[in-house]
Amino acid sequence: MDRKMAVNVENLIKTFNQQEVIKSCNMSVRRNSVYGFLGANGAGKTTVFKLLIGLLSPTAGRIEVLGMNSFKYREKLLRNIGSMIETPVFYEHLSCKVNLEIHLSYMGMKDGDINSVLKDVGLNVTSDKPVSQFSMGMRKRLGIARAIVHKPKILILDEPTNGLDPLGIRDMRSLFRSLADNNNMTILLSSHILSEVEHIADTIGVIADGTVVEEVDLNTIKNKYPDGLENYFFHVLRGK
Amino acid sequence: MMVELMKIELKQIKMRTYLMAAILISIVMMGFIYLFAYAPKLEPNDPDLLIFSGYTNVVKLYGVVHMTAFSILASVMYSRFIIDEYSGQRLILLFSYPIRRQKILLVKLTVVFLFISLSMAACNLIVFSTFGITELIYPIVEETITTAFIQDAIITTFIMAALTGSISIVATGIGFIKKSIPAALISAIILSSLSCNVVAYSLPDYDASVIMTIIAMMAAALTIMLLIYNVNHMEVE
Repeated sequence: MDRKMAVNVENLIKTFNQQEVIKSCNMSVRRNSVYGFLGANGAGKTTVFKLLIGLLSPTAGRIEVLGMNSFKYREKLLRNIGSMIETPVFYEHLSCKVNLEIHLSYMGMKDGDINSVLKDVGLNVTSDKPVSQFSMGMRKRLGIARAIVHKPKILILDEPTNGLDPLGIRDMRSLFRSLADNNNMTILLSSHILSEVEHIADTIGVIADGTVVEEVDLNTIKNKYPDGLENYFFHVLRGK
Repeated sequence: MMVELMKIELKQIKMRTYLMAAILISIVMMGFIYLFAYAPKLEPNDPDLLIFSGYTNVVKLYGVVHMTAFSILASVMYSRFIIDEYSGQRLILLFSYPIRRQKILLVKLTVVFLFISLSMAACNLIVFSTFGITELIYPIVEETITTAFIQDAIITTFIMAALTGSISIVATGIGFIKKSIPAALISAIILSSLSCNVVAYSLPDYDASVIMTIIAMMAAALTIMLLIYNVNHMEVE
C-alpha cells in the first residue's frame, strides 16, 4: 500500500439480506488531508464509515487503514481512530468530563488533555451538569471532543455539524482544519451541507448508489466549477 | 487488564440503585426467615406447614426464596448492562474501543456476578446472624440450635449464589437472543420458581439442590459461549 495513503478501499462489497448496499467501491484518502464525503440520503456514506471502523464486516473486497487490514487488525486500528457515527450516545447521568475520562480509560490512555479538548469544542470545562441535560448542539460538541481526545491518527465524522448553530459550525470548521494541519490527523467527514465541505476539504469523494463515483481535489473542482461545489455535485450525480 | 476494565464498568454504572434494591431484599428476607420459623405455630395441626419444621428446612426454604429475589435483581442488572448495551446506538460506542469484544462482555458479566454474590453473602450474614442470636435467646423453632445451623447457612449461601448467577445468565441469554428485556425477566422468574419447587420437594437433603446447581452452571457456561460468539460476530447495521 502507498505509504502516503491513510485509507485504501478496493472493490468493497457489502450485502444486507442478499441486497448489495455497497457495490465495488474504491476509495483512497491521503494522509493528513481532509476528505469530504458527499452523497444523497441512503447512498451508503454511513455504511462505508462503519466498514472502515470495523463495525461491519465486508462481504468482499479489501479495506486498509493506516496500512492494516481493518477487519483483521480491528483492535489495533481502533486505538488510532476517533469516530462519531450517527447520533452519539453517552453515559447520561455523568458529566462531560467523566464521560471523556471513561473513554480515555477504554482507549488505554491515562494522560489525555480533557480540559483543553473541551475548551476546543466550546464546552464548559468546570460544569458538572449530567449529559442528559445537554442540548443537541452540546451533545454534538461532546461527541467531537470524544472523537479527538485520545489524539487519533484518523478522524471519521458522520455529519459532524448537523444540529450545530452557525457559530458552532464555524468553530468546528476551524478546529478540523487545525487538527489536519497542525496535529497530523487525517479527517474523513460526511456532510449534507455542500458549502461546509467546500470550506474545509482537500479532496471530495462522491458516493452514489453504494459506490464512490468520483474522487477529486477540491482545487480542481474550484477551477472547473468556479460557482461552487453545488454545481459540481449535481453534475456528478446527474452524470451517473 | 480485567481489573482495570471492571473499574471502568463500576464508574459508569449507577450502583446506588442496585445497592438500595439489595438492602430492601435483605430487609424483606429478614421478615421471611422469622415467618418461616413461626409458620408451624400458626396452624399446629396443618401437616403442610411441617415443611418449615427444623432449622435445616427453614434455612433451605429461606435460601431458595432469597435466590429467587436475587435472580430477578441479577436479571434486571444483566438486562441493563448486557441486553441494553448490545442493542441500538450504544453498540457503536461499545465496539469503537480497542478491546476485544468478548473481554468487555466477560467483564460486564463478572461485575454483576460479583455484585450479586457479595450482596447475597452480606444479606445472609446479617439475616442468619440476627436469626441465630435471637434463636439462642428466645427460640421460635422447636429444635435445639447447634453448629449444624451455621454449616447449613454456609452451604446454602454458596449453593444459592452459584444457582442465582447461573439462572440469571441463562435468562439473560434468552433475553439477548429474543432482544427482549421482559423475556429475560420472565425466564428468570420461571427458572427460579422451578428451582424453588425442586428444593422444596427434596428437603431435607442437599443432593437435588447440588445436582440442579451443577446443571444450571453448565447451562450458564453454554450461554456465555453463545453470547461470546454472538458478540464477536455482531454487525452494527
